[in-house]
Amino acid sequence: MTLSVKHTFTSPKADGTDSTLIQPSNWNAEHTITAAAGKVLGRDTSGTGSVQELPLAFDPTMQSMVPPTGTTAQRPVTATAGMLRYNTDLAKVELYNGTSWGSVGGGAAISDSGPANPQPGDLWWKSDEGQLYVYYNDGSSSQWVIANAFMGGTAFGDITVTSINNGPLAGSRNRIINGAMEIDQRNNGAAVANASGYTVDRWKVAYAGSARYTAQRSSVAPTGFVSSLLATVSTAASPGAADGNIVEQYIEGLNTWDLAWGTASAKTVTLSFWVRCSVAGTYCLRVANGALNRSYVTTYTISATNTWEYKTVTIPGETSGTWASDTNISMIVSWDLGFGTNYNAPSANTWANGNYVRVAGAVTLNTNNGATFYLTGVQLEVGSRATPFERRMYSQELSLCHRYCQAIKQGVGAFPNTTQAQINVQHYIPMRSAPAVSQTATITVTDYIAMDVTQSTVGIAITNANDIYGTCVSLSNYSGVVAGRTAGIRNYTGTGVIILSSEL
Amino acid sequence: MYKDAVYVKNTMTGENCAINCTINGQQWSVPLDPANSDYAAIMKLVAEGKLTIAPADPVSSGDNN
Repeated sequence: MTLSVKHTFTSPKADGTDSTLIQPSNWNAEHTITAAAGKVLGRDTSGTGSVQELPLAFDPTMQSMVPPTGTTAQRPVTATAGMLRYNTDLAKVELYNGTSWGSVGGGAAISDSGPANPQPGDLWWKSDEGQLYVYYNDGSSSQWVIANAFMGGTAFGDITVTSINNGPLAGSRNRIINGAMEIDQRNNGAAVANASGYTVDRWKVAYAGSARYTAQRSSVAPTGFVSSLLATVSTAASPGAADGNIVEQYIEGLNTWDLAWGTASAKTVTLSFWVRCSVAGTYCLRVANGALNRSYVTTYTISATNTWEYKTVTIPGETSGTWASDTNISMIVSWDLGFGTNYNAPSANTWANGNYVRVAGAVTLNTNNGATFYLTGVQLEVGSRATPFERRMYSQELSLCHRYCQAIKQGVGAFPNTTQAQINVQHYIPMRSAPAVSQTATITVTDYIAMDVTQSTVGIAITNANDIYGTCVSLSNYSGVVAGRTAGIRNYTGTGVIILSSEL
Repeated sequence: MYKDAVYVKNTMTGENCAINCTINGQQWSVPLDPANSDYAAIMKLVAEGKLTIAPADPVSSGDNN
């Protein structure tokens, strides 16, 4: 290898005594750099003429070049754009771009945990998540952020993905049924005073103590929704230690077993919802198991009164406790509407043994007469990020509700005597269990020959076959019917419907 | 709130097949199915001595309301 050297001295300099070095007298000659002396030497241009090692070296085999080398602390105090060096702290070649030093090349680090001493722009493939992160400085702090997320961009061509948020790709992400509060088979929007039980489908409003709520499906809803569950304080009272008011949904084990709760593989879930309340402050919700001996209480804030707000909370998968994987209750998701101290969790945001609903200091809504609480757009999904509400077709949502409740308006049977009609009802779909039966008002039946007759008062009982597929009910309190004739519910004059319930 | 519980006989077999009961102020007929949550709640109250279930009318065919 040869190297041409030009001197920059502005005045003559005498040759030095070391004849092995380049001399002023032979600046313009060609000089050989040997493998044994792989460093390039030069002369100080400040005028002293001292020989200095240039910050560049070659390995002994002359097959690689070593740039200036040093620690982070040894970076030039006054750097200029284009400076290149090897940082021994970071084990990376770095370049000064006129503003900051950044790593050059090297690709992404691959590991379960982030690499040490990251620099803005560094890439990291998080092996256990299958996510690409970039180290980002937003001006006030630096952190790893997901680099391969779609941020509103457009993908052209096929996309291959294994999951969304570690959950299903699409469909059935939401474990909550009737989260948009559309279905209301029992009451069809009518208010239920002193609510204690199911209001809109799958949603239970309950109380213990003196405070009462009126509950109903409401058309007040945030943009993108048409319904909500409204609970209004009708009788305000401070809850005793064991008292409380609550809105909640019980989730069946068949719909959550894949979460693997109660095992070391328990998956994190995220709950998202829209809420609107007439009293601002800190509120609580909880997730508990069916036995109510494992609870996770967390808080959310109503920032402005009577304003829809979107909330998300992420709940770590529970590795302890018993979580049903069959037709029993696996999980209860509850919104605290005011509870006594017996239900105060030791602390928020941690799993605890016991039946807890809130933490001390949260708003006790049931002490505010006339206070309103609206809830809709409820979604519980796998992963640590909330995704847009999973909107199912109305018929799909209704069918999901039918597993637990069916409002029956048709059925055929016979009059066994002059006062009763036995009606056989085939369930729309198989129910969770053999259902209990009730009726919303008196029901009219026909003998298909000459007569329609309506009950004088409600009266219904299971008097024959009853299982998950069908139910035979006896409607009583008719008069003047002819025993032995066919009986059918056509419901074109009566107002009542038969309610079948196999709720959890 | 469960009260006024009474057994109902199957009209064909004559055996108990349900419990008529007032639940939160509404009349219900509850099957004898342990998987039914109302039946489970009734039997829990019975076990705790907080509810008794009256026997069915010998000629009952569900007209217990």
